[in-house]
Parts: sequence; C-alpha cells; structure tokens
Amino acid sequence: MYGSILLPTDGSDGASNATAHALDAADRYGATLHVLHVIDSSVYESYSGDEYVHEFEGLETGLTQSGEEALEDVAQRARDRGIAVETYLTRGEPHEEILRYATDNDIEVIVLGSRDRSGEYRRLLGSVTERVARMASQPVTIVKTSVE
Amino acid sequence: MPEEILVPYDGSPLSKEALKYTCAEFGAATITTLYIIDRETDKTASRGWGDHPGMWEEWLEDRNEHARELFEGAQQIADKYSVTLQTGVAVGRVPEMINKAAELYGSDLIIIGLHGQSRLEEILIGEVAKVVVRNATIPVTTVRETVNE
Repeated sequence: MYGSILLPTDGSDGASNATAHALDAADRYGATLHVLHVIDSSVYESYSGDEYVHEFEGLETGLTQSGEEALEDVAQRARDRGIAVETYLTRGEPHEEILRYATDNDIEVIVLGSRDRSGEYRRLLGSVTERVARMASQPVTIVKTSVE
Repeated sequence: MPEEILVPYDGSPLSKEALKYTCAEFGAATITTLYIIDRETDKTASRGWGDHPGMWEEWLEDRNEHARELFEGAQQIADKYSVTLQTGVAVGRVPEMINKAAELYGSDLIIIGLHGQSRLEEILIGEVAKVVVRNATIPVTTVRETVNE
C-alpha cells in the first residue's frame, strides 16, 4: 500500500495515461499525490542571452506559466476526487530533480508517462524515463500513451 | 487496482526482488510468474552442429523441469506473504514472450527487475526490462535491486 505517489508531468499528451493511472492509484490507496513539474534548464539556457534578452526572459516566463497550468490541471482533478495533492515547480535537469524530490519527500512509487513511439527515436534522444527508472531507489511505473 | 499481474521470473536475485515487491504490494491480485525458455541466451542450449530434433525435445523437457524447480522457489517466497502464485512457461525470445504472455493472460501490469547500471551483456544483447518497457502496451513497474542488503 502506498502512502505517497509522485507524478512528474510535463503537461503533454504523453502524460495523460500516467496521470489517470496515478490518480486512480492515489484514490485507491488513500495516498498523497505529489505532482512535479521540472522546467528543463537545458531548454532555456540553450538560448544565448545578449541581443535576444527579452525573448529569453519571455521563454522562461512562458515555460513557468505552462508548467503551473499543467500542475494546476492535475491538482484540480485530484481535488475533485478528494485526493490529497501537493504540487511543486522547479528548474533543472528533469531526472535529477525528480530523483531529488522523490528522496526528499519519502515517495514510495514514481509514476512516469512515456510517449509510445518508435524505439529508434528514443534511443537517439535518451530518455528521462529510463534514467529515472535506473537511478531511483523506489519502484517506477511507466505508463504509455500512444501518440502519432 | 491491478488484478492480473505478470512477473517474469528466472530465479535471479533481481527477479526475486520483483516478486517480493509484487507479493507485498499486490497480494490481492492474481500474480503469475513467467519463465521463458530462450534458446538464444540459455547457457545449457546446444549450438550449431549438435542440434537434432531428439536433443531439442530432451532439452525442452530439462528446461521445463528447471522451470518447475524455480516456481517452487518462487512459491516459497510468496508463502511469506500468503500468496498463491500462478505459473507460466513460454518458449522464445525473452522480451517478446513477456509481452505476448501479458496479452494472453490479460495482464494489467508487468512488474520487472531493472539493474541500476547496464552490464556488458545487456548492452550487447539488449536489456530485457528496457525492451519490455519499449514494446509493452500496459503499465510496467520496474523494481531496482535493494541497495542495502
């Protein structure tokens, strides 16, 4: 029986089945659902500042806003079902932040979404899911959502 | 609530870890341990010129016997959680047969051990858990080896 479940979400459609799975599990076990959104620092840091400084600020603000929306969306669905929920927004390397949060908050299972796409593509990109599964001391449940 | 859980089991410490976790967390579900007879990775399989139909039959029988012994060990683990296991044996490539068995049994969750770091063997032949996750359509829970034991 789980007391605390961590759902890292990027708010994309790749996370939708994982979100449903995590909500069901939290509901069933009476667990607290922790929803985490990590703003990938490599995304906004890859834009060099100098003459585009305004765009740079705009990008980070935009990422923060969409992250907050993703968190609030899941939190609202949890509250509607009477599930205890906590949300957290942070910046950094996604897998590092997920692992750190899981350790700091005594998480018992991490539920990760994954887009169901060709293996080749993923092998080239590397995968947050795989890194988390390999490095987490907690069990990790990977729930896929098919995307074209 | 997962009702039909598939746990690939080969008697390795990692597969025992996955089974213990499954019994502890999902004792109320139907838990099926699956052993796969894989000619490509089984060290007892004959190679090349040694093959002929009679030997294949003998070898399969021997592997089935091995599976029965493994399942006795698995049931001993499950007994500690008062869980009665279902068992299954498949012949074929490991990751492929895990996903096929999950489909056949109508499993709603696969629970599988995952090494913290790839071993050389796994880099070469492709790691089972990784391939299972890639091809599965149902949720897969990966369980790591217990660090402090």
